[in-house]
Amino acid sequence: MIWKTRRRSEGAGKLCFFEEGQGTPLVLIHGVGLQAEAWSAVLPHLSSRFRVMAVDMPGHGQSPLQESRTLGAFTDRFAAFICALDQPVFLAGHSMGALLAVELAAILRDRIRAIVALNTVFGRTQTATDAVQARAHALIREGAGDPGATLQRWFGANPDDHVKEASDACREWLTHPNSKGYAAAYRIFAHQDGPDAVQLARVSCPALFMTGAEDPNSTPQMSQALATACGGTSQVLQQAAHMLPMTHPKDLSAALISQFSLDPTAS
Amino acid sequence: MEFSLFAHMERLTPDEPQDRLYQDFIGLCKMADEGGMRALWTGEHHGMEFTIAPNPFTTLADVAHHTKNLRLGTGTVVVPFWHPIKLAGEAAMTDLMTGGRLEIGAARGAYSYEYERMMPGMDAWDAGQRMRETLPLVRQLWQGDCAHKGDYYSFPATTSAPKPAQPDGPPIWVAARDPNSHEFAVHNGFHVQVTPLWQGMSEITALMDRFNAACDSHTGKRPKIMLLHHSYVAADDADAERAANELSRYYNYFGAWFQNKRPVQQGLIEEIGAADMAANKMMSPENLARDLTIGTARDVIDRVKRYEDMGYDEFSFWIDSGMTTERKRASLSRFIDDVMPAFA
Repeated sequence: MIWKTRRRSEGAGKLCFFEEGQGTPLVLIHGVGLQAEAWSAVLPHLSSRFRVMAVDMPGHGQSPLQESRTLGAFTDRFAAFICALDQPVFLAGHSMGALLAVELAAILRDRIRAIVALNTVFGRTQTATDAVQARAHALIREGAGDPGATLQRWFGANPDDHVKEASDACREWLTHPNSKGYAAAYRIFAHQDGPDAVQLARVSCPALFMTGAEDPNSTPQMSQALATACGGTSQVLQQAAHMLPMTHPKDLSAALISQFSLDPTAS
Repeated sequence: MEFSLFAHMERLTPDEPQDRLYQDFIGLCKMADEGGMRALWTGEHHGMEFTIAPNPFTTLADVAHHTKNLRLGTGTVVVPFWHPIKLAGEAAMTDLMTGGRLEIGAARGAYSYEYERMMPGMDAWDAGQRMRETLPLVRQLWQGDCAHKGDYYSFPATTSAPKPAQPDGPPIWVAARDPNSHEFAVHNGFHVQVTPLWQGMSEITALMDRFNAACDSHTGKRPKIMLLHHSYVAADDADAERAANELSRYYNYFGAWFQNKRPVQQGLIEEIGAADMAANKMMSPENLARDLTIGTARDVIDRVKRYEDMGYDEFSFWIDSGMTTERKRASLSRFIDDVMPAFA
């Protein structure tokens, strides 16, 4: 079973992670409501080339929330995690993880060699903003509830085979969340309209913004705009939507390997 | 609403003699003083002709002798470049020399260009961590017999010599952007300075929201918050449009220094061509005309009233722009004569 829960270690910043492979660290940050296993389908393609480290966000998986309630607090914990490693890292993030990846690239200039930001939000419409903030408030007020609507948004109404397995794994994670952690992260994600323009201007490492053509909330136009704002590149995967790490692991792995080989000092 | 001037000696092209640039800067400080502004803020930069300001304490000590009432603020000291004992001592000395007129604006620094020269290997995150360790120590050193053992600094019991002239020391303001930095400032009893840089109302609102959130989670007295923004008070719409173009050019250069990818020679960054500037949509004259505090006196009054209504205590007129001194003086003069009285 691809998505089964794996044993973790604890890293700096009080963040839990599991790892596979050797070489330059490749740190992976999942999105709201999930956990490090979201990367499980991608891991086998990468662990022959990198020391892949899939990290639980604060309040997710086994990483305690502590008092982290702001984007800065989340960023600080990942910064501590990355700074404690023995060399500069490659970094990839999905959705809220992508937001964190951009923030980290801005403030940890020489410690991050390149980033890949997947399904990144940037400049929501008012309608989209109202919708995501309503979901955040509902989550805070009422707790997780049935994840059916979320899963449908992520995986479509009738997912088949592998995608259905992925959807079931997400159902499990969303049905038994650390509710404070989920709510805290969702709140940040709902109120932060993508990476800050000033932070984007600080990003100097190679940056790839990748999304699915059918992702309604982290659109190809957003990824293009992000790439333009920081001198990076963008890529759109056809017939793909929001959950790239789980639905398109092969395409995603190829893109990651390509991006992280662009670095002239790559091992 | 109080008003201050944010100014430095600046250069965008190689031609002007530097003593003239310095006199231009002093001239603006005198205008601010005579015009009744509360303060001058001037900061710290290294190795760049774009903003010439290696030590704000030196500059402020000189400005003190050209002005009478203006409060004199560091806008900002780059805290990670200063040992806490040095920072406390030089601040106290400047406070003494200026008769107790000093205020401290403190930041972690904006430019990786400076980090890689002054402290190779330090990044923005380390710089922030250093600032959080250093700033609380400054007050303790002014009080005296402060011993410290920390991540970045350790020293046996030390007292700042001299002590500041002001009884509790100069007021301290912290440059804040993300929610963490607002929390750090507010929870440590510092005032807050924010700037949306080239951005406009939505960022100005977001910054105030973060400040308010930090104040809500703190039981002490609400500190002050200052908004720093590029301003130009125009004679007419054509003049405002010209200013938007000049500020667009300025922000293109700012962006170039910030990204730190273009070559620099003799402290000047490689010239940016018209085509590259045109391609920078984010900092287009149209965007800046909409977003910066630019317009006729009436327009500027309306904008500043909105900032006041949001809860900003002080508005700082950022005048560094690459404009001629004549244009800067004309704009500042209109601000003092036509805008400030609306807030008296």
